[in-house]
Amino acid sequence: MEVEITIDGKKIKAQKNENLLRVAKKNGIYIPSLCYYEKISPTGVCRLCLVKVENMRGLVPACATFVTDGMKVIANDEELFELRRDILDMLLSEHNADCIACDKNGSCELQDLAYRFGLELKNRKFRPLWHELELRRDESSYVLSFDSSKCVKCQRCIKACYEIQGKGVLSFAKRGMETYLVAGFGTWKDSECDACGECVQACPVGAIVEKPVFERVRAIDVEKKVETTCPYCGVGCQIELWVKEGKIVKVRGLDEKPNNGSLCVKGRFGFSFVHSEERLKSPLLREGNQFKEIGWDEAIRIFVERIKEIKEKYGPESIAVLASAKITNEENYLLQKFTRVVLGTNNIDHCARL
Amino acid sequence: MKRDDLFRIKEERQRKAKEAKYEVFTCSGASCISSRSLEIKEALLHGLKKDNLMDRVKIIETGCMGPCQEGPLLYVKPEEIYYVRLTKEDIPEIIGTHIKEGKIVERLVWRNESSFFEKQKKVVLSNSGRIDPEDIEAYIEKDGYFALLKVLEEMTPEKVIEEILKSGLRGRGGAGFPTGLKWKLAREREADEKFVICNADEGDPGAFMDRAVLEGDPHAVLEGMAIAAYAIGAKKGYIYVRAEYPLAIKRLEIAISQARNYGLLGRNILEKNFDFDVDLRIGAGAFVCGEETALIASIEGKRGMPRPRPPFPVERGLWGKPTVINNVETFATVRHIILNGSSWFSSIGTENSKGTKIFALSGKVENTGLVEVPMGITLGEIVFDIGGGTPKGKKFKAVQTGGPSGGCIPPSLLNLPVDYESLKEAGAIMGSGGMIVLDEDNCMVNMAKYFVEFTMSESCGQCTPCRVGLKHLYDILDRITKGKGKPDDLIRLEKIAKEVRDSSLCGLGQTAPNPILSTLDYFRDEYEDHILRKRCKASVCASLFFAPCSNTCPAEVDVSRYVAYVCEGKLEEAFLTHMENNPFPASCSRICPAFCEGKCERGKMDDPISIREIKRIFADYALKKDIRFDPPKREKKERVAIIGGGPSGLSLAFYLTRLGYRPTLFEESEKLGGMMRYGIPPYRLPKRILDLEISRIVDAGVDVRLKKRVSSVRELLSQGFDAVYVSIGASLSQRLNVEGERSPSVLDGIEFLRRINEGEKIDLQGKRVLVVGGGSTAMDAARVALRLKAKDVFLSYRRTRLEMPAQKVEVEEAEEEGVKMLFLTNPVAFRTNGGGLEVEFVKMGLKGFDRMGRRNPYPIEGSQFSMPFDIAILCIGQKPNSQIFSEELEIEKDGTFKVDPDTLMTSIPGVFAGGDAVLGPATVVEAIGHGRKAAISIDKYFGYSGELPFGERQEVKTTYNEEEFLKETRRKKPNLKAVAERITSFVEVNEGLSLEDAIFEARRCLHCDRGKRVVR
Repeated sequence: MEVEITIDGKKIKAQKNENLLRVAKKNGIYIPSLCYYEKISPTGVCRLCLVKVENMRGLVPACATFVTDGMKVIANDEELFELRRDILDMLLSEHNADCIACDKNGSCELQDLAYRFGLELKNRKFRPLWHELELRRDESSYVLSFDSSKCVKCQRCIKACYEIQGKGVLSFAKRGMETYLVAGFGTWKDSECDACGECVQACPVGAIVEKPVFERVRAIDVEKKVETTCPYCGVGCQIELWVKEGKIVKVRGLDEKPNNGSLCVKGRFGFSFVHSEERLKSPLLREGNQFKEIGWDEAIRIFVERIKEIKEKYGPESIAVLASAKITNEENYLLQKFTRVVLGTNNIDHCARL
Repeated sequence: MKRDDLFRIKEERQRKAKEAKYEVFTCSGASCISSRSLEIKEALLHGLKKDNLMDRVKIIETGCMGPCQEGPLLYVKPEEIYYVRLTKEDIPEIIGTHIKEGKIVERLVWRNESSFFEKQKKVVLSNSGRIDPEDIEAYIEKDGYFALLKVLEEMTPEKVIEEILKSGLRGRGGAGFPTGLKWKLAREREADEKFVICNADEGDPGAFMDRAVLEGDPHAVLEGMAIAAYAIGAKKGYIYVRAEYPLAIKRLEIAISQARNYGLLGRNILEKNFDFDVDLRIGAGAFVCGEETALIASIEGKRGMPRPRPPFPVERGLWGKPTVINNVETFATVRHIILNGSSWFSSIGTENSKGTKIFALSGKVENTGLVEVPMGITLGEIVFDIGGGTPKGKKFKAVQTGGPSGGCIPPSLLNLPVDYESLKEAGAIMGSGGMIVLDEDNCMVNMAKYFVEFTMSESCGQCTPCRVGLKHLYDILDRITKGKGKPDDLIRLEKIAKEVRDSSLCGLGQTAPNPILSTLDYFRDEYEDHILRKRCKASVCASLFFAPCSNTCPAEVDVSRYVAYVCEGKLEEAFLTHMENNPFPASCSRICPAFCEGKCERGKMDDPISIREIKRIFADYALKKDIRFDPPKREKKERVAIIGGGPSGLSLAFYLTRLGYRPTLFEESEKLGGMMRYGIPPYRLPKRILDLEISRIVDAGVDVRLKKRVSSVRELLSQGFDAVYVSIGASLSQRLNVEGERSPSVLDGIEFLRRINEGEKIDLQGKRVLVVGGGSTAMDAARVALRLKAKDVFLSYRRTRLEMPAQKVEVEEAEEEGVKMLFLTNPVAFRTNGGGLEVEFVKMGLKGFDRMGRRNPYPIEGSQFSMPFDIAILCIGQKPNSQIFSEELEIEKDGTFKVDPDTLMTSIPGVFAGGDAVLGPATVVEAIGHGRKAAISIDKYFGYSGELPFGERQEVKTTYNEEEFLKETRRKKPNLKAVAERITSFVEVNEGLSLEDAIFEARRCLHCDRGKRVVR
C-alpha cells in the first residue's frame, strides 16, 4: 500500500511499513548510519540515525522505524546534527583510528562519517580511550583477522553470520566498554566458522579484514575492478575481482543475483591459483615420462581415437568419467548424457561429496 | 482439584489453626537468615521439644516480616508482639516466661512497632511474614487461589481486563504502564500462542521488594500470572528470576510443583477447562536483563540485549508472539483486586497512582526494612515516621529512589507525594522500590559516581551513548572526586548526560544519567566544592582531605596533627598547630560544637575521640606557659581596618599580623570578644580564659580602638585604610510579633545575657521564668536564670527535642540543672496582671517539612492554655545589625551582608565581611574560619601570595604502641561539677580531663591522615 510521509518538510511517497532510513536515502535525504546493513534486520544500536517523529516518544532510530501514512519526520536539524556528531565522537574515542596503516583506509564508513562531520582531532570532545581497553586480536582464522580496537560494535558481522549464513558463530562477550566480538567460545579457529567471509564483507570498518593472499591491499590501491562469475561451481556467484599490477588481489561478492554479495570460502579466498606457476594452461600429452604441450584440436583428436580403441577392445564398462563441480549443471548434465549414450556406460561420478 | 476441595482445605486449616494456644512466626527472609534466624528457630524447636510443649505452640517459618533492622525476630500470636534482635540465649526465657507462664518478656519486645507499621498499609505483603511460603495450604487458608477460582467461574477474560483497567493498577517495575491496558493489547492481538512472563530480575542496588514477595508469598505471583494468562489467552508462563536469589528460586520451585500437584497449574485447572503452566528461567546476573526485550532475548537463549521498541512485547514478544511481561509485585497485586474489587483498590492512593507500593528502605535510616505504603504518602513520612529518620543525629541529606535509574531527592522536597508523576517531575523515578536514605556523611558526587560506575559496567554494550557515553561521564565524575575536576566539567557533564538520556536504546541508558542530573540539580554546590575548592564536605572523596575531623572543621584546624602531638605529649607543638588555623584553642575547647567529633572515624568503631578535651589540655597549658607571638618585624605598608572585635574580627587581626600587617580594630563595646564575651556565660567560658586568649592576639600586633562605633566603611577607606573587614556579628534579636511581647516583663535574651556578662546583678529569686526558643541562647538564658535563683525555669520550644538547634550536651546539662521543657508549644500572648505575667500558649503539631527538611510546626486549633510567670525571656534568633551599612553594602533579605563565598569580599572592592554578619547567628568556630579566610584574601587582594608563614604540612610521627588502643574502648568523659554547686554560682561546669586521660584519648585516634596525599 502506498503512503505519504513528510521528511524535513518534503512530501514523499513510500510503501507502507517500508524502512524509514531506506525511504529517506531513496529520496536523497541524508541520515547518517553505521549499524544499518540492508541485508540484515535493523539493529538500531549505533544511534546515528535518530530522528524526530511526530507523536512518537523521544528520538527514534530511522533504521528500525516503519513508515505509516501521514508520518511527519524531522531527519535533520541543528539539535540532531549536534547529537549525531557527539555520538560519532564517542565512537571515535573508542576507535583505534590508526587509519594510515589500516586496510580500510579510504573505504571505511566510520572514516567517511568523521570526515563528513568534521571530527578531526582538534574538534573532538572526547579523549581517546580505546588503548585503555584490553586489546583482543584474533589471527587464528586462515582467512581473516580481527582487531577489537577497531570494532564499533555495530553487530553487522554477528547478524550477517546468523541471518544470512545461518551460522551464528559470532556474538559479544563481556559488557559495557569491555564488550568485544567473539567467535564461538574463544577463537575463530576453534569455532564453527566456515570462513565464508560474510562478516568481512559486512564490517564497516577495519575490525574484520581478509588476511592478505599476496600482499596487503586497500581499496584505494586497486587499479581495476572486474565483475565476473565465480569459476568454482555451478551456482554462478557474481564476484568482483580487485586487480593490482595485473594480479587479482581480492575478491568481493557482488550484490547481485544469485549470491547477493555472499560467497563461500573458495570463491572469496581461493584465487591464488590464478597466478600459480604450476597451473595447467594447455593440454599436456605424456610421452614416456615426459609431458608435451599440445593444442586443443590435437588433444581432442587423440582423446577420440584412444577412447574409441579402448571401447572396442575392452568394452564400454572399461571407461569411467569423473565430472567436476567447476562446470555448470547443464554441462554436467551433458557429460552424463555423453557418458551413457555415447560411451555407453553408467560409470560416471562427480567430485562433490558433501 | 475441584472448587469444593479449595473450600475444604481452607476450612480445615482454619479449624486447625485454633488448636494451638500460641502461634510463633519465625522470619526466614534473606535478611533475617543472614542474621541467623534459623538458629533461633532451631533453639525454639529444641526447647519446646525438651519441655514437651509442641502441642501448645505452632511454629510457622515465614518470609520477610518487614523490620529487617530488628532481625532475627519472632512474632507471637495471640499477643501480636514482636521479639527482636534475638540470640539463641534468649529463647529459654521466652519459652519459660511466655509460653509456660503466659507473661510477656518485656525486655525483648520491639518498641518501635507502632511507629513502623502505623503509616503502612499491607496488601501485597499481607501474607509475607504470616504464612509458611513453602506450604500451599497455608496460602489457600488465606483465600489463596480463590481469585483464580472467581475469575474462572464468574468472569470472562474481557471482564478481568476491565476490572484491572478500572482498578488503575500500574506496573510496579517502575515505569508505571497501566497493567490493564497492557493485557488488553495482548488480548486483542491474534496469535496461535501467547505468553505471560514474570520479571523477577530485580537488580537495583538497595532493592529487595520482589525478593521478599517471592520468598514470602510465591503463590500470589503464580496466581496473578494464571489470571493474566486467562485474561490474554496464554497457556504458558515464565518467571525470569535472578540466580542471586537462591532462596526465592527454591521457594518458587516448591510452589510450582505444589501448585501442579494440587491441580492449580497444568491442564484443566480447577476443572474449568483452563490450561496454564509456569517454568522458571534463571538469570545469569546481567542487570540489563531486567529490561523486557533483553529479558525475552535471554529466555530465548540469546545474549540478553535489548532491541528497539516498538514493536512492544504485547505485539511481538517471546518467540515473536504476543507477550505480557509484568513485575513480581504487579502480579502479586492482581488477586487482591479480583477478590476485593477494583473500586476498593482505586480508593487507595492518588488520582493517577492507585493502590500500595512496596519500598525497600535502606541506608542512613533507623528502621531499615521492607515497607508497604499507600501511594501518595509523602517521602518525609516514609523516611521519618516509618523509617525513624537518620541515625546518630546526623543531618538528613537526600533520598535516592529508583536505584541507578533514579535520582536523589533533597530535603526541600520531603513533602513530595510518592507517586509515579511526582517522583518523575522531581528528577527521580518510582523505580521498582529501592529507597536509599542519605545523610550528611554521603557525598553526592561520589553517589552519582557510584551509580554511573554500576550502569557503565552493566551496560549491554551495544548502543553507543550508553556504552561509551557513560564511560566518559564516569571519567569526569571520577576526576572530580579526585580533585582534578575542571571548571567546565559541570557543563560537559550535563550536556553528555542529557545526550545519553535522549539517545540511548533502552531504559538502562536512558535513565542511567538520572543520578547525575538530579544531583546536579539539587546538589550543584557539592560539585562546585569539589571542582573549585577541592573540598568534599561529607569527607568521602579521600583525595581531598587529610582526615574527616579537620575537613569538617569550619576553621580547617589540623586536628589529626595536633592530636598526634598530644599522643606524644608534645603540648606546645600541638598548640602551635592549632594556632595555624584558630587562635582561640582554649575558648573553643569549651564552647565549640565540635563538628570534628561528629565525623570522627573512631565513632564508627566505638566512640569518637574527645577532641575538645584533648584541645583543652594543650590550650590551657599554653595559657599557663604564656606562649606569645611577636608582632611582625617588617610591616607591610597596607592598612586594614576591622569593624567588630568578636571572634571573627580578632581571628582576622591575628592572621593579618602573621601576614605582616598591623591592623586596626574598632569595637563599640568596652571590651573585646563580641558574643564570646557578651553572649556566653562564664560557667561555659570563664572570662579569665577569654581575656588571656584575646590579649595574646592583641599583643601579636593589633591596634585596638575600644568604644568606637563605625558607621561607614567609605569613611574608613577615605581615612587611609586600604581594606576593611566588617565583622559586626548578629546581635539584633528577632521578635515573635505577638500580643504583649513589648511588656517590661518580657526580656530580650541577648540583652539579658549581655547584662549578666557585663556584671550586672539581676535578682530572680523566687521568680517563675519562661524562656522561649531552642538554641544555645535559650539554653544559656534558662541556665543563667536558674543561677539567679529563679524558682522555676520553663523553656518553650515549638518543635521537639530532636529538632532543637542547641548542642545536645547543653540541653542535657540544662535539664540536669532543672530547666523544664515545654516542647511543641508556642506563646501567643503575654498579659500582665498584677505583678505577674500570664502567658498564653498554643500547642503545636508537626506536619510536613520545611525547605531545610525540618518538621513544620503548626498551631493546633483550640489547644490554647495559659501558665503564670513573672518574667519571659525571648531567644528566638538574631540577625546582623546591618542597617547601619545599608547604603554602602549590598544586604541579603535576611539582613546578612552579601559577599563572594570564596573571597568574602562585599560589593565594594577592598571591603570584606565575615562571621555572623554574613552567616547569620552561627558558631564561634565558623566566625573564626571566616576571619582566617578573609585575612588570606585581603593579602591576595593587595597582590601578595596569601600564604601564611607556617610552612609545609608535616605528618607527625608517633612512637607509642598503637595496637593497644585498637580494642574497643569508650571515650573518657570529663568531670562535671555537681548540679548543686553549678546552679548556685557561675563557676565553670566542665572540669576537663587529666593530662593522662587526654593522652589516652589522643591515642585512641586512628590517624586517618597517615601517609595521605591531598590535592590542593
